[in-house]
Amino acid sequence: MKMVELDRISKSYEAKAAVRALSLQIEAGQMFGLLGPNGAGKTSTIRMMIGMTLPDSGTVTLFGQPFTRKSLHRVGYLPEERGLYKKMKVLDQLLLLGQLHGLNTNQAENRARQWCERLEIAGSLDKKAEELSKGMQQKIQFIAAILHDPELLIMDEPFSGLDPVNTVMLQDVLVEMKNKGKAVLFSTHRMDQVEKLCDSICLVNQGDAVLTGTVREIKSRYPKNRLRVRYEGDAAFLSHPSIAEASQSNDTAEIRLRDGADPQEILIAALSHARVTYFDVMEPTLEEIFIETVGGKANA
Amino acid sequence: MRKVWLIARREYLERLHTKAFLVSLVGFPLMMAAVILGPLYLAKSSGNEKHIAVVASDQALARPIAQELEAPADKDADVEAAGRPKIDVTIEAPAPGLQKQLTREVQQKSLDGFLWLNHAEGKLQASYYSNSSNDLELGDVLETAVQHAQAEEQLLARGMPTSQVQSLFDVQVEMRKVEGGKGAGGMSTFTSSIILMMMLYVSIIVQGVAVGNSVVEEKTSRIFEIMLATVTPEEMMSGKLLGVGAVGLTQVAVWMACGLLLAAPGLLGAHAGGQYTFHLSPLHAMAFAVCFILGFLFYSALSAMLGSLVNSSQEMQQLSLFITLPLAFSVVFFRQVISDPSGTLSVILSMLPPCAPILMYLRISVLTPPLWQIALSLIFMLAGVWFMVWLASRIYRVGVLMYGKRPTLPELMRWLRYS
Repeated sequence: MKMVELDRISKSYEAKAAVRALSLQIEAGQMFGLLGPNGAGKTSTIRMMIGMTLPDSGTVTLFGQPFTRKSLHRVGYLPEERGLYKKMKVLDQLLLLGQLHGLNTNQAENRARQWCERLEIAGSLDKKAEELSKGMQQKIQFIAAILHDPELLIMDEPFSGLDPVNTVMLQDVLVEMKNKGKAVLFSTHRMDQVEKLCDSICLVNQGDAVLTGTVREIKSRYPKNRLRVRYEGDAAFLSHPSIAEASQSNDTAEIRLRDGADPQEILIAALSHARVTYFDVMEPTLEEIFIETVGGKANA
Repeated sequence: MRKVWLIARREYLERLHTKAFLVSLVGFPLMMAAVILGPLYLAKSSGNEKHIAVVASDQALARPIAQELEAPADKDADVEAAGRPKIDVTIEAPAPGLQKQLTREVQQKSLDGFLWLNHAEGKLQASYYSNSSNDLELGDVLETAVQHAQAEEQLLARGMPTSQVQSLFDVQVEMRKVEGGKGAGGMSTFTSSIILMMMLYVSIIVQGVAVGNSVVEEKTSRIFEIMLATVTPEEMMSGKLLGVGAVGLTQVAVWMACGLLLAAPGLLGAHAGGQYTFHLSPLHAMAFAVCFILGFLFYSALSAMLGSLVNSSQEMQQLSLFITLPLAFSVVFFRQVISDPSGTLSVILSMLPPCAPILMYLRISVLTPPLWQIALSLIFMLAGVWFMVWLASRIYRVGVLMYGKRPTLPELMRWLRYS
């Protein structure tokens, strides 16, 4: 089932277009990455998705129906810029946010306690938000977004500023949600996280969706033209005409091939000169694709 | 509606628990009590301290003056009596060097002052010498006493019986207000009108500014972003206005209760001889509540709008002038309205939505205005509130998500048209 369907949505502020005819679809059970440099239009897209602002044109469909505010009970949102009421007790804030999402007081309190237990911050339930560290506040905000067991989770930079232990803790929760058939959209700059977690991505730059699709499929569009070779002996093979660029450190060479070159030729050349202990045809990383796509566009 | 209620409840409970609220809840009545009771108490306790000398060659004139100063003829505990200290009088006959001697005594503060009377060209001349030349209240008292004594002397000399002479001076004008047949004391109506007006003014300012500050806090702490995932800006704003408004009403109710308690016969009554009783008919209480609610809605919507435009509480402080100035402007005119409640200026001011909550209330409390004027003022106030809430909610819903530079006026005009 399609949880989110954006059909050519556009939004301009003053004279500047924040989002231009952007379309994307997110399926149930999918982890979807919304990527892009700062100011690309990610937050504007998310805001239209949950009705904080209305698109100038185009349609938003949630859970198979045109957007209504009622659908928001089934959505959990963790904004990038986020905060809590400083003077309010953590439990009270979670109760308030749970109730605003349609839970009753008991449900909200039970779930708040369970989640705080699981994320190891049960001790801060009776503290005021201002007494908590930034990381702890972030976990509370994370809980606030998932308290009502939403079918669609929208996480804008959910791990920014968290230490590795807590990052893994929250990642596990998101993966678990995904495996339960919920859709998770998350937006980040951290390509390694996207690579590890996301099934599909949409790369946004200057208001346009410049790349959309599954991670597998997107990567296959880019040629595998980078090699890593570890060898002992003569390095003369590095001057092979198919090699565009090579860099060496100790016994390892990083090689970029010319377009259309066959890695096999390099392997044969290397074997004839030196003793090869390691040979890898590397996939392009999302980071490289990101930089290439965004950089290329920006220069154009 | 449930969401508005949840937000209102949060606002109400959080505010109720702040120290600032508790301080103002107790502080304001205490301050008022101190302002009213303080001078009375001081006057009472320093009762015998005023010691003055009356110097006159004519003992028949000096004696009644001394009598009136020591014990005023109007013993009904009127304004003068309540506010003024007891006076102890010595009568002296003029003698060479006496003026110098008395002057020295005044300088040494063993004497508060002396009244020098002498006849010149058939006219009585009176001068009062003391350390402060502007003791206005005492001046009035002395003048009355001298006038009374002189008239009394003349009338007695012309053969009028003593009892008749005294009854001549035993007339007092009692200030009464025409209102449903219940005669409320003029002076006390005046005092309670001012106290209640100040209460109205203070609570509208305090709660109005509080709304703006809490919007700024929600904006700077970015809690808005989280809240807006489930509530609309309009729901946020209505909830906030309701919650903070309820805090204001609670505060006002407690203050009123204090006022009534203060005016209970045993307390203030005893101190001021019933002068400062606190009158509050149900009709006035209702007018007060209506004026508070409308004034609060007008100014707090304005305040919420301003709060949504800025990025820090310092910036908000600058903008809060837009709230305090029109309110202060209304209060500046209170003398005008009290002395001439039906004058053109009073009527016009009590119709303008920014001033109406304060000045219409003041007019109602001093002199019941014609019904059509109350109705018209109410209509203008409602229209003003409607406009302000409409304007504020349009600006607010865009403003709370805008960070950085404060928008210019043309930008604001464009915001109004955003969908």
